[in-house]
Amino acid sequence: MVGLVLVSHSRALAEAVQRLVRSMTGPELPLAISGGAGEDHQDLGTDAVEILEAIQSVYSVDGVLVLMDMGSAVLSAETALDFLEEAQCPHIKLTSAPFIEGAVAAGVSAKLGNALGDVTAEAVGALAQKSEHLNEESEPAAVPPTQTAPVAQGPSVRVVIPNPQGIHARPAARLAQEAGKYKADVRLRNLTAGKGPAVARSLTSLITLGARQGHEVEIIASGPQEREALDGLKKFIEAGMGDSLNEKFAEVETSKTATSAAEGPTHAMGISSGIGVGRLFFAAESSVSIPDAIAEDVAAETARLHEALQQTRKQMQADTAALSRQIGKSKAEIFVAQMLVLDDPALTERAGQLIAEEKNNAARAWWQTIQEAVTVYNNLEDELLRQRAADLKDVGLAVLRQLGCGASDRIELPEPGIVVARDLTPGQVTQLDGEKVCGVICLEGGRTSHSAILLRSRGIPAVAQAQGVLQSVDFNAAPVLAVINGESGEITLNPDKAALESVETELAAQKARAAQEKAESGQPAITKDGRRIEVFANVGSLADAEAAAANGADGIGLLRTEFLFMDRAEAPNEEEQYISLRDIVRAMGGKPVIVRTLDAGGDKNIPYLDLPKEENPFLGVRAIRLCLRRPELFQTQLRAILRAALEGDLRVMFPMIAAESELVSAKTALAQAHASLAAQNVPHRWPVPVGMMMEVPSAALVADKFAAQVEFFSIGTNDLTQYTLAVDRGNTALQDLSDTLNPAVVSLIETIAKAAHARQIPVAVCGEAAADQKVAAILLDLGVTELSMNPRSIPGAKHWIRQR
Amino acid sequence: MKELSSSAIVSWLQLLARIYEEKKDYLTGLDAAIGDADHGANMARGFAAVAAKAPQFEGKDIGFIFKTSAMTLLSTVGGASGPLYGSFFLQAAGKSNGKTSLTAADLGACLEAGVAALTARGKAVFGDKTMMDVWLPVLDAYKASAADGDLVAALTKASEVAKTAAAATIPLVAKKGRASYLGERSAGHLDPGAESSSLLIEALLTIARQ
Repeated sequence: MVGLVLVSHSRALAEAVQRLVRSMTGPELPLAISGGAGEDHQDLGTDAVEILEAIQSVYSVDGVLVLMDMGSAVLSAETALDFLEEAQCPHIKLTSAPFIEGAVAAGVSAKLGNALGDVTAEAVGALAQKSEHLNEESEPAAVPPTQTAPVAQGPSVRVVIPNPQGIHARPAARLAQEAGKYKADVRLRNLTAGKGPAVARSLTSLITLGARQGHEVEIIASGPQEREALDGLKKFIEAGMGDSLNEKFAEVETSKTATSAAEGPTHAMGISSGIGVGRLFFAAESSVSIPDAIAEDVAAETARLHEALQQTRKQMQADTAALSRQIGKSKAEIFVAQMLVLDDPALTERAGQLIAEEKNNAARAWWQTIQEAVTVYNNLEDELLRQRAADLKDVGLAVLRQLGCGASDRIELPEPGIVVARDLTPGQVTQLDGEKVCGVICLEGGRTSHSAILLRSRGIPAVAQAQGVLQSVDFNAAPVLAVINGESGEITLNPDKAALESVETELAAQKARAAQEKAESGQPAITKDGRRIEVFANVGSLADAEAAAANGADGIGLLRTEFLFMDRAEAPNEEEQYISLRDIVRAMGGKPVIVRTLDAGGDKNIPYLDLPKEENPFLGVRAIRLCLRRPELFQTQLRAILRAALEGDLRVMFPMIAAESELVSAKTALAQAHASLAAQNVPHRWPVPVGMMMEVPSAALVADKFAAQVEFFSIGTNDLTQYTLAVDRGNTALQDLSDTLNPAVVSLIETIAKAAHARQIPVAVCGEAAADQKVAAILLDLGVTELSMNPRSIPGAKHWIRQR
Repeated sequence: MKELSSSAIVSWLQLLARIYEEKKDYLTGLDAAIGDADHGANMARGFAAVAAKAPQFEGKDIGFIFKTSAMTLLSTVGGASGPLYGSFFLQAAGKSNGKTSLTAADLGACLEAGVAALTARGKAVFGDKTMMDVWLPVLDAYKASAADGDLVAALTKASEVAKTAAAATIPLVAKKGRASYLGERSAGHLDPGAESSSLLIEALLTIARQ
């Protein structure tokens, strides 16, 4: 985005104009001021060094526009340029535009993502409106003098504007240039809107015509070349004034029906499928207030930063655990990757250096470090790496919050609509209000960013790289309505009634299909060749269980009991666990509920369990390994499970069994729980069906041995893939390797399925692969008999299974 | 005296701080007549800030001293003379880098670069009623008389020319700067920038003679 610098002799004036601009643009616009001289800048004057700093603070390759009041402001600004790097100079423009009106016009234009040239043109022409309002005949002083005649006279022709965006800045600039070629005084009058005449050679004057697509414009010329001017300019306008007119626009033009403000659709990059309709809202960039205090005690300030990094890590671990229940584990692991930022020595060293050498306080040092790193990322050639800049910023803000800087970046919409942002951080995506956000338009960003992945998992339609599409939108004029297609990337601005209706029809059809699928979802899913596939739900709370029932789940294929242990200070007692489990079993109304015993450790830390810090937590004391080492913890849970089993069809499943001895020990523990309940005369069900997760290759390879000892298998494809391929699935650098359909993984799944069939026990898949139609179809071919997935995916899954 | 040492340059800057402080009201008065009544205060503030940097100049070369002075003037003067004198000293610094003393020829190179910077920055020409009306003839006079290497003689000549040239701005109509808003009414007043420039040359002569 083009940055703005305001230079005034008066600090107060610069600040006031800044407020005026901000009132139009919000805080997102890169805007800096310089003003005043002397101590505290309270005297009138300008300061070249401060101007230099102001320019640098908002500089990007998009450019910086500098507006100045007068005299020394101009000289000081010019002097400041002498100190910039040569490569930066072409991107910096000093303009003679009116200070106040120019700043506001430029701010709005920059905020829309316009290029420096266009922003400058807006600033220079900023007096046009005022001038027109006051009925001034002469041109604004800022515009090069034109031969003006008070009244338009001479021969004329009429022409209809074909450009979809009307005579906007760029076509106007070209038209003005074209008009200058003729020895004639040329005026334009907008007959449709009743505006003008405007001097054709003046860009700003042309813009005041408000000529939109379909408007009829009269060209009036007088002078030696008046005829040539009329013919030439008519042709020039009809040819689109240098804009390319695609067929769609031409149609609108010839049919002459479009006198409304309907504008044509254009394309951005679709990153999350679905159709979104709504008013556009610019998301303000997060406001960060950093204290100025100097670090008196370097050691203490450094320690403060490290403490904040540590706290952020803890917080992110907790958030990740919570999120993995909402959006699935592998999606949530995006945040695991983010956590690596906290350990990046380049960042911590740089921040440490800023504290030690510059005496920056911890927050200032950290934020400057992050901003430097973001700049570096943004300038990288590699698109994928550029997209990591959002991750850096996300983590950077999280650390700032730990340091007590109020840095909230949550996006709130005043009413339902489409969020427009430069880019969203993953954290912002997870905080979007699904009720209000109908879609997301990123000016930058891409398909592979973490934010895009999260948008897809949340089912929010989104497009990226929309800078070009939104460039010409006048957000000041009126609320802008848009339709976005997250599949094709199409953005339709201010759709006309017909377009809106067709979208609404499509949305209604989608809704109807979804409703239809949901209505049928209670029925069994039977393939065309007559195989019944049980479609179960993965559930991590009572609310999930209710959603599962509502979406027609054939049961719960995976009840993650970790939720009972999260977000609390101590382990839940038996009674609490019993009540929670009982309620879930009841909610399923007699359908099977497979309860997985506590799967803590690995990436799921539960603070009060005091798990030792391990070098390789995924290969450490986690899941069943942990429970077998904490008999009191395990017994409490097993007792609660057996008691809850009285309420319905409850089954027990042990996670991460790697060796036969583990299964034997786990089953022994279950028998102990039964024995103690029986001894105390506590009502419970016995026996209950026992199954195991198949997620460790050592178990899969000897699945036949295990099949004899359990009543069902459930394949956790996420961990099975990770352990088989030795690929940390939180490591974003290895995403291409992390493939459930890798032949080795497929071969293990086949082995498991065969062993299950030989013993006639069911084999389910409860990893994310189950909800991926392409992968799940292959799994079913391999002999998998049950799929367990996110409750909301069930109706769709049952639908496609029936089509097979 | 054949050369100006680093410490002589520092003394010059300190002397300027005293002179501009003493002449603050005088210069401001000149500016009040045809400008925005801040020239005296601006020059006094800027050179006081330069003089305050004197301890940093200890043992440094003249290029460093000029560059630091330039940056200080840029950020403290406030008015148009900030970027103008700032640019002057900055370009002079380019000609005195690594030097711990200036010969008559060295000083000539500094003046030439400095005046070129003034022209580039202010875009004023001779006769616009600006400091250029002093600097352009001063540079010519200095160059003409410094050819035989006598620094004091060259500065003596330059200083004489400066005074005459400053006074010669009185009848002129301003074409640049705030005074140009007054048009014809600016005639009859001494240009404050021309006067402060003349004081600057005179002070350098005082130091060179010591």
